Amino acid sequence: MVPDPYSYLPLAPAALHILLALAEEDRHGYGIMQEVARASHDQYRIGPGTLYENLQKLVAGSLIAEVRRRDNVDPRRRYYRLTSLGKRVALSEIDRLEEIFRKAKGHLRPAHVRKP
Amino acid sequence: MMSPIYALLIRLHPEKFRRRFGAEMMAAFEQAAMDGWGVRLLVDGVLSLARQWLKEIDGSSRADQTFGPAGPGYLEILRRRSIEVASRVWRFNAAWATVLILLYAIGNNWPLALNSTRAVIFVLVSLLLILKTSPGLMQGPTETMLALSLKENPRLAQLKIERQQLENSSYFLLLLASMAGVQHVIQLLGGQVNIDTTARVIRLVIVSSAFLAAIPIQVRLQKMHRAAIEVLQTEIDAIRSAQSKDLA
Repeated sequence: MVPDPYSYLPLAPAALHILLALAEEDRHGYGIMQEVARASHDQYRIGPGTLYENLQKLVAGSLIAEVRRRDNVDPRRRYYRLTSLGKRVALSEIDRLEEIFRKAKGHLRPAHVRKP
Repeated sequence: MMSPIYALLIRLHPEKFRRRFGAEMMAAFEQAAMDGWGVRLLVDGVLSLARQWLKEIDGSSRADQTFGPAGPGYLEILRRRSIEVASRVWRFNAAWATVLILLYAIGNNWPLALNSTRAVIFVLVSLLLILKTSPGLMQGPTETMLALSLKENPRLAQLKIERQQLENSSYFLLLLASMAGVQHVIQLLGGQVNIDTTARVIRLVIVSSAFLAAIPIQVRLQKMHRAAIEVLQTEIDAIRSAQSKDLA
């Protein structure tokens, strides 16, 4: 049976950032940390402790998977890949957030600025 | 300089997590430190340590339901309790909470030193609890916005003092129970490795009496807790009644 991506929501901010960092390509731990910092213009950084705690959960939930790949720079590194389930969960979370933002904008904008 | 400290922090993580992610964490730390991530890496490491142990304790305490003064896990349960306290005091005193977590992790990660660290941990924990109590932790149910406005109530002040004294007695009992484990420190310093029967009996007697003496204290604390709430409720009702009369 295919798991329902909505059953994984809402995602913790760190988990969402990690899934997004892996959307483009497979990355190792520090690669994910760098990508999260880069994508958020250095406004959000996750340390190794937070990163691996989340990787542990995401691997257990099959949202990401470890990839057999040798790293020539540092053999201690392992690579992670977004699974198809992880991709669906990330997209569902983005949809959920978009819906919240859309409603919030509607409530917060002054009445005369709102579209008819 | 940060590298050995971080390696120690990783070493203190629960074994299962450390075996799976320890080497990778260290590699990521080394890269991040070179790129100037700074002290936040150490803070992140300590927080990770706390989260991992809290998760571990949460899982294992559900699996282990046995409890009793003579049970093999009695001091272990006391130790778990210390980290639960740590999670509660984190908001009020992060440094103190960090010390508790580090001590707990040390005791769990070096089996050879387990018994001796167990004793040292509990003597330290108990002394610290007696000497330096966290203000937020000790306020109990009285520390609400409304209670703050009612703190002049003499009955409430009296209850607070009594509660403080009782809790200190409770921690003193914890100290006694800890002293029962001090024999293991002697072992670590080169004493006899085998625990003789007398030592076992002494330990059992101290732990049992501390445990038995703690029961009435707990009961009394619960009664005081309820009394404090009643005092507050009476005052709240009086204020509300006066307000409604004024409005009328």
